[in-house]
Amino acid sequence: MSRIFSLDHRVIGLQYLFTAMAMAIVGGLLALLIRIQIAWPDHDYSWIAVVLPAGFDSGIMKPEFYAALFTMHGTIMIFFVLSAALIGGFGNYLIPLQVGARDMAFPRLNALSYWIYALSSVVILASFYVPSGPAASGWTAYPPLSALKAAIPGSNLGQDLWLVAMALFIVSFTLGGLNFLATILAMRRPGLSMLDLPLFSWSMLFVAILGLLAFPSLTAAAIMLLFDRHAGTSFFLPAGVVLSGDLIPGGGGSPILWQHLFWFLGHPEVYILMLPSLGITSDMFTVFTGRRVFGYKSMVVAMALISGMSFLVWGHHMFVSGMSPFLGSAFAVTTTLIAVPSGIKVFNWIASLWNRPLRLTTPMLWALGIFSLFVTGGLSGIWLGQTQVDIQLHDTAFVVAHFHIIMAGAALFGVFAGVHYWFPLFFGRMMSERLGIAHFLATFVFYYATFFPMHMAGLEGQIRRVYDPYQYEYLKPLAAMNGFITWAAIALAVSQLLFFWNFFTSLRGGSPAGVNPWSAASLEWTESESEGSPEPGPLSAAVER
Amino acid sequence: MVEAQHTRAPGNRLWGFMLESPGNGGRLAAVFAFLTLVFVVWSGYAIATSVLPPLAANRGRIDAAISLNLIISGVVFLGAHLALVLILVRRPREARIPRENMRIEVLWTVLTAAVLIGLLINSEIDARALGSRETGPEEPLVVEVVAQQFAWNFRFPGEDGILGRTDPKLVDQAELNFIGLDKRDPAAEDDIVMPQSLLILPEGREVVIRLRSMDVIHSFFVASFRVKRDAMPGLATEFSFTPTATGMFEIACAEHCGLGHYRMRGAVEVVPRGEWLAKIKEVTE
Repeated sequence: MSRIFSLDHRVIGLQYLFTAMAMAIVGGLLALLIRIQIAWPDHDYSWIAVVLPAGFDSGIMKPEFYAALFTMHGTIMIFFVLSAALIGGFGNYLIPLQVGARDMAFPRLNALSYWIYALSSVVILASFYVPSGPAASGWTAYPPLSALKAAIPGSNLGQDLWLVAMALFIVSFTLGGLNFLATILAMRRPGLSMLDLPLFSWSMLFVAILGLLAFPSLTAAAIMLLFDRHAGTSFFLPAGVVLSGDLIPGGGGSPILWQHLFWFLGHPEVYILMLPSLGITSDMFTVFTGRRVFGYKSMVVAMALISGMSFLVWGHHMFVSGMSPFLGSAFAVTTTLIAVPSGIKVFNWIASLWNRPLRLTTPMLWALGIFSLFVTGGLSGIWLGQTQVDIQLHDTAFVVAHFHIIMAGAALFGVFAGVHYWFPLFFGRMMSERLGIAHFLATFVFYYATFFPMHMAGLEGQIRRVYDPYQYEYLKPLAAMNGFITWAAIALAVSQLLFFWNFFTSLRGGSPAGVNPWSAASLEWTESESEGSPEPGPLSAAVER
Repeated sequence: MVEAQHTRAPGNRLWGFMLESPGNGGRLAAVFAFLTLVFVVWSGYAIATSVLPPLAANRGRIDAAISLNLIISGVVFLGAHLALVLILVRRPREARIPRENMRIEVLWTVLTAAVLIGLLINSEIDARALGSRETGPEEPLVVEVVAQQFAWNFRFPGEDGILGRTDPKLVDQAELNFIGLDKRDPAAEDDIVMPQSLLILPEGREVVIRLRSMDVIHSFFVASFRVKRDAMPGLATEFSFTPTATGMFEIACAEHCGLGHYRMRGAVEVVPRGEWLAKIKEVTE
């Protein structure tokens, strides 16, 4: 029992990591279903319908099921996979070790935060099993679509469960954020200054601040939306809504209010996912070039600027919503200028690697992959930050390409870098470099093969979230490209088997890691040395048996 | 090198050749550098040769801005990835470590900021131009666009130039009164209500779109016109453009609006100015 309901930050970190891995499988399979539908919409998928009878009608996917797929894919991947793995997983395990504390400041709160996260995962998964289906209003849940039950089948119980799951998730990450903040600021080993910390710990500090300030906005919005749905309020419902011929009573609210509240969380959330990866990348460059990353202090300043500015850019999601053009101009300025601190990071990285002997280990490869993704995705972000360019590209596949490369891709690569790098710390064994390299190279190639062509699809006008793009004459020529993307996505998914194989076989069969196998200088590795014996994570004992 | 133990395990034939010298990555660096180069060439070629849908309105500024962005980001993209390739293939055995140089950091920060500010100024000039009306003597043509699940309703004000009153209570789908037009209002008498999801516009005359929604959020997107604007329930917004080519263009809904989102398709037919009125009469009668 004590191993399951443990207060040990290392156990809790691994619990987060394993839960996130399980959720990643769900989210990934949803993505594959989305892709095969976009590429070959009229195909008979009776073989999938055997597993998911509710989603198909005589072998053809239902449009409402498709909407549920992209809604749940986005929600699960952003919150339940990437946030959970990077922050819950790595954050919990590593912060106390990197700052030289015995544990988190509040171990009980920490355990509670994991169990609330686990509960919210159960709630979001349970919504697949309600008769009207899971939420289907997109991960952004824009009302009135998400407020009115008659607007879309998923806007029934599925949407309620989605809102409850989000509220629980936020509670969990608020507790976690408080803990991180207290631990980093107040529990550092005496003599260890903030400027001695690895950049990963710095990124966690900023993530905690962002989370604490941004998440409450969505909590409030979620509760208001629940009220709109069940208590007869109209926070987000204007007067005079007529849905399939019926006048909806109430009114006086504004659907655009939801967008402000949602994106006030939503955009910092993007950086919540990015910052840990940026921190990990810098730390990998430190370890595998054998010298502290170039411009360490300016990296900290850049992260602080990115974090601060991330609160001032949310309106770029609403350039075409009809809000005042003055607001549009203001948000264009903040959005575009966030590329300045991002640029500082890129230049510092180049300077860190230039003329240095690199050790090309698997974690280092992932970090170099993040470098590439951060450049590619950052540049398309500048495009979308300009209002006139956004008019054409808003809500097209170009946006899908952009955020999958920068936010999802960089975060995902960060998870892989971190798992490979800290695996010896977690389990006392090494993961296979051979499989790791194969996994990296395949993922790098197929990730770009999947997401880069979406830029072109978007430029040619392919809109997002469409169940069948070929209803439009002008999108019919894109069928071949969409087929290519889907094959690449399938290859990308298959490549991930290498990771799972590597991970689970290395748990028992990996070569013993010894102390500090990467010759790193940060405190999480020296901790074991000082205690005289390599002390791998607590779960490895269970694995041994 | 403790990490090398694992990688030098026997039976490492498939990938082992890359791991022969774990100190500097051996051929792995070459493979990764090669893949990066392939990606840069392929993606650069693909995006530079992709084309926007043919332009059919006075919004070529957007195309120009996209080209400008393509060039600037192309240079940065190429530069950063070439740096990555060089880093991978050069790898000296001894580090030649640059000193932390504040001047260089300031220089590249200022350079980045200058380029971005240039783009922003360009964006602001474009946004103002795209948001303002033409200054000809001719009155623009007003069209009300009302989105609903999953169709587009179009209405011209008629000769009086005034759109008649609407009331959501009067919506009657059986009577094809989808927008709740109040027929008792005198201003409504000459309103021209188009058949659903068909809009006919004259070539070369400025159009002011008054956009709203009956139910959920939709988005009015005509790729060839470089026009996109959300249709918000409870909020009417206006924007204008001038069609510059005749032909049929598709209207797409760009905001997820329900299970029929993918088929919320409309058509704009742009006809020569002289034929416009006759064409409108033809389809409304």
